[in-house]
Amino acid sequence: MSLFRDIDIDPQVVARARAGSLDAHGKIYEAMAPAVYTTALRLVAERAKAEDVLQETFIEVIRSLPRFRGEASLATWVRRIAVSKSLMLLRTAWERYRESEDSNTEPTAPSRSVGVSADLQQALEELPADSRTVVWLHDVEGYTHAEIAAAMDRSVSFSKSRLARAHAVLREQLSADYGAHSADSLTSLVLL
Amino acid sequence: MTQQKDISQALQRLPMVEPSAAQWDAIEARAVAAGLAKRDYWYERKISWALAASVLLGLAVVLALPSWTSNDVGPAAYANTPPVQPGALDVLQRQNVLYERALRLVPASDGVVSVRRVSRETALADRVSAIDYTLTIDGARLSDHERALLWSERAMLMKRLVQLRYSSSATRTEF
Repeated sequence: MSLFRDIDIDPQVVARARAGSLDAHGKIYEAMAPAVYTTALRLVAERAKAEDVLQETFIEVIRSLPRFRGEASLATWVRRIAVSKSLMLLRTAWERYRESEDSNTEPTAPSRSVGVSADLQQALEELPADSRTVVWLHDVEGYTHAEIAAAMDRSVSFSKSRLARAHAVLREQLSADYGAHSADSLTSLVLL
Repeated sequence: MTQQKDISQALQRLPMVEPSAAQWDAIEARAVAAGLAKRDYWYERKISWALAASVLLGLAVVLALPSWTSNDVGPAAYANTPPVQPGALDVLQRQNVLYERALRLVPASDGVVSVRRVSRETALADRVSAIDYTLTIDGARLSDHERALLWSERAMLMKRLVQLRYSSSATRTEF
């Protein structure tokens, strides 16, 4: 389910990284960068910002690994940092201003139909940041509403309402794009 | 409920996205510049012969002129800042040069540009100018660590500027 679920790092590599070896950190980066970058991209919806999140996440990993106690898996720990960095970026005053401006404009339909996967991606990007974050953390990363509420510093009901709203928008937009196909057939289309 | 499950599954099947190859270089340079990690011996051996030769030459000069190791200059002056790994500043400066070149290759702006984009570009360019000013005017007073941090920030700002200009240029070309 989670993008981070199959990532397994050799404990010796982790031990070397804890001691400050850049080579070992490079191996951790190789294993985790796609998951971190993809998660960041889904949450912040812009490549340049996702790259910033990627850099900040791994700088934090390098800085904090000596204090990592191993209570969760390394992948889970890195995911938590990546999500936290993404949310920090979305919380900046500038991003909130942009978000409020964007929410005043009518959502636009995807300009090119290049497949369900691309349209779903675009539909996700067009959601308001908080709905996008909630739906991704819940549906893909398997966060509970309580975990989302804690990460976003909001209430459980906020998380539930944003998820319902995000599902409704995604369902509506994808149904509109594929009039002949019902949302039930979405999964089989993506599988093709 | 079934539809929600379908949407969840469809989201889970969206493809992973690979970051650009340059990202690790930037992270590595920042980590080394900030003294957070060190390169392994095998990596150190990858330093170019030119850099190795210049280090040796510098060492020879220091040995030949022992008076240079007075209290005024030398390691004691940087005792309070983390050491900067050899080559880290070079990497950061090379990154800046590459971004400067990339910026010059962007076609000149001759169309309508949004106020938001102009203000973002101006803010980035202003910060780059401020860093350049600091490096030029206060450069002599800065430690290697401080210089590396400034060069690192400058590289990040330049990257954002290049991306902004290219996206602006690509948008104009589409229309």
